[in-house]
Amino acid sequence: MTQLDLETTTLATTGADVRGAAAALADVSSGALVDAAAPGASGDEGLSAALQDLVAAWRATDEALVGELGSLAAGLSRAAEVFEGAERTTTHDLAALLGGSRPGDDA
Amino acid sequence: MTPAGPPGGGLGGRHAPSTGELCPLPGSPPVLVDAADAAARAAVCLADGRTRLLRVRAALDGQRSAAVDRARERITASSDDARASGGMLEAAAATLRRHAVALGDAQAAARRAIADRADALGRESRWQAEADEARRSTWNIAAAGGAAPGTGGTGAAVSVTAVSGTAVSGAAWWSAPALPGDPAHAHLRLAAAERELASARADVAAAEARWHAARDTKDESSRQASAALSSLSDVRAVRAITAAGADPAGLQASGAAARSAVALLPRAVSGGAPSARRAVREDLCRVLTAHGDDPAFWAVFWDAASPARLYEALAARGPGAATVPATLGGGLGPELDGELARALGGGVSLWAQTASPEEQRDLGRRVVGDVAAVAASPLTPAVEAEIAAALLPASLPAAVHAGADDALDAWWGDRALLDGSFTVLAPVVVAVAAGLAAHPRLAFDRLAPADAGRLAPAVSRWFGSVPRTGWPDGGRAVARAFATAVDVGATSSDRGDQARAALLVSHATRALPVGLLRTPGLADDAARSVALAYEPYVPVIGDVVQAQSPTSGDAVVEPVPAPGIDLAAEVAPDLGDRVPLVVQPELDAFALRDVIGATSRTPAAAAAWLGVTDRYAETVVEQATSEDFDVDTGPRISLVQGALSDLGALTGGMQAEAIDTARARVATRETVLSLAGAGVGYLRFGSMAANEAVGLASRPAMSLFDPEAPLDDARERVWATENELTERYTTDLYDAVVQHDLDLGLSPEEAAERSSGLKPDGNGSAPATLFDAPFDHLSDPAEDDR
Repeated sequence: MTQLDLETTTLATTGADVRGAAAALADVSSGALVDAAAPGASGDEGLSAALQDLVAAWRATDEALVGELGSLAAGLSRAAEVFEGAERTTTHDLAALLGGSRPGDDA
Repeated sequence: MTPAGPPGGGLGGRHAPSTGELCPLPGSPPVLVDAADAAARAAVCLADGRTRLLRVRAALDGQRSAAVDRARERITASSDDARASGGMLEAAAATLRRHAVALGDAQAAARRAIADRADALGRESRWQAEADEARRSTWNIAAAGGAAPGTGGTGAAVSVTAVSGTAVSGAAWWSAPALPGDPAHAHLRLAAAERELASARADVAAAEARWHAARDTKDESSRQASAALSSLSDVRAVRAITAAGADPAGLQASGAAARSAVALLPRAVSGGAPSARRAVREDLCRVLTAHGDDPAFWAVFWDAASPARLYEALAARGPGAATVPATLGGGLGPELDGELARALGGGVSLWAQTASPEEQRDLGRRVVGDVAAVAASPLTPAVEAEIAAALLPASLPAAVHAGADDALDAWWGDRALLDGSFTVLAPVVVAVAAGLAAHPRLAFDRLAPADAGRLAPAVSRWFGSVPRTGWPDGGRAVARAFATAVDVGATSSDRGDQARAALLVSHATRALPVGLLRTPGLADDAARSVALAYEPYVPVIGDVVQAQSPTSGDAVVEPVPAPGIDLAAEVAPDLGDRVPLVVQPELDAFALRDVIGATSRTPAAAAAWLGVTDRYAETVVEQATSEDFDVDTGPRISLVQGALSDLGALTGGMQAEAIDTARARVATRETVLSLAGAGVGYLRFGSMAANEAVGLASRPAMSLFDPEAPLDDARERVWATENELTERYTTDLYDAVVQHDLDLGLSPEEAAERSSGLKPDGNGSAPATLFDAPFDHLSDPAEDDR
């Protein structure tokens, strides 16, 4: 197995950043953009409709992305905790925490 | 997409008409700016998160395992989505911010216009009252018999209390010398009031105009913002443009161009004069070519267009539209313009980058299916197949070619060989074959299917058929697909995969001579690919030939085997598993001779076979001189003797074409002599016209009294080659083995004794016979062997 060449602080920071990105995306797609689509905000029915269409078109992608980024962030944070103080960590260990492992896989 | 509302419509419709009350323009720039800021922040967060995730992915690069691969795929997918979503948010933020500024400016202008109008309306009202009063004063003075205006006469007193100094504001009558009651004074007062009234009314109109201008500016900004945001709603197009590293802000123009191109498709086919349709087609070609590397264009285009419509539009099929556009060529053999072909292929590649495997497969199916459906029609220009081929560059994802092969399979199964569409569709088949060759696993699955029942039809179609005019690429793509599929199975550690490849070769050996290898102008590259496909099976070729040879001494001649795999095959007796062997095919020796002969016609093509034989000889030397045989040399002798037989068969097969050509010449001469005497004119014998053959027969060197002369000449040359090769291989192998034993410390006598069964003692020696027998059989089989 190949030794993992990442510091635990890097893993933790990455996890936090990715979690932050997921939160920001969730906020904007269900908050600010929806607010802007309100008739009183956009000032134009056509523009409101375009904003609503935009949010709707990206909803599935954004929701899936928010979920996936949250999951990756959790895996990275968990890796940072588990690997802290460990003598040796491998790429496979990290892959397993990032959801790469499935039943039946060889370690 | 929801279309933008008309200017002034909807909320804009609450704007008052010019005769009513003007309203402040609706909308909240601060809310829009907040949304823009939030979107921009999210875009930055996504970009940062993506950058960090990619570093984690890079750290996983050093390891290959199912878990690591899945983790990498997961990160890649999230990173791609983050890039697309971030790109959309960035572009949306810019749009919202731009609109917020325009909206704020328009609202301010509208507010000023409303205030100015209110002020002007107030003045209008006051001056209207003043004018009315002045008018009444004028009437009173006239009724009282006052002086005419300008005479200085007295009249009724004029009340000026209704007129404030500020309202009058410098009116000429105020400082005029006329006195109240003076008719002149009253008229001056009226004139001044009317002037001020007109001025106020003009100010009202100007304010209303400014309000309308502000509203129109806002509506235009809303429309532009709506259009920009609508273009960002095309998730695929955003993915495509961000994957290409381009700015999603450009998506709107690309999307508009794509929609315009889609709109041209039906217009190029029907309606209007032929010249107009041709002009539309040329416009379409220009648009498609101009956007060849525009990912957003193709993302939008292929969401709305179908291959069938594209073929119709570009190839101008159907009555009244038979003229091929200049850019597509013309005349009897229209060819697709190279630049347009590259644009079409590049466009599908760009589209495929953001399409799901299901979508990719569906497009591949439609690209082939749409042209196959009409290929048999005489109204279908051949250029349609070229367009379809251009849409299938080999570099496309495997799923596209899998779909294309699905459609090809269905078409082949229907009617391809009966209605002539095989020849029409040849470029498409070549494109799919190239796609299979570029995706080894797909080639293996399709050409060597696990379901043995599907293999024979697949082999028959791909390798046992050839279009009437031959493969347009000289058979390169089909041969490469064959070699690729065989290589996947033969190099697999899985015996099941090895068996699939062997079964493919077994079937293909019979099909190739009547199909692919019969293609006119078979390319050297194609011959080389076929030769390389047989490399894993060289270790048993000598045995195959010997077993099926009627000249193999007392051995029972085996019948030509049915296609299958030979699980009992071994490199040589007594070797056990010391020399590994992949699963071997059952081979028809005569078909194999045809394969080797047809792929050795030119020096360049024959070089591939010579490479195969040389590598095989080197491998055998390496195996024979390994320590496995240092003690027990019996199996070593068997190994080398078996190799000599294999090498004899292969190099003999390479001479088959020379002997067959000579045989054909002999037959021609005999026929010519007999028919020329009978006065038969210009007939065709084999591949030679009778007049050509008569010329050949009458040459001094081709004595009419020696009809066998061409064959004798050919045999003489082949024998010379045989002697040279026998000498070379028997000597090389013997010397290598003896030298190895000398290196082990054996004396020359001991070394020679241990390899006495391999000693090349000239013609008739055991090793020479082992080489010569299969050589002779494959190069020049007896007439009744086949």
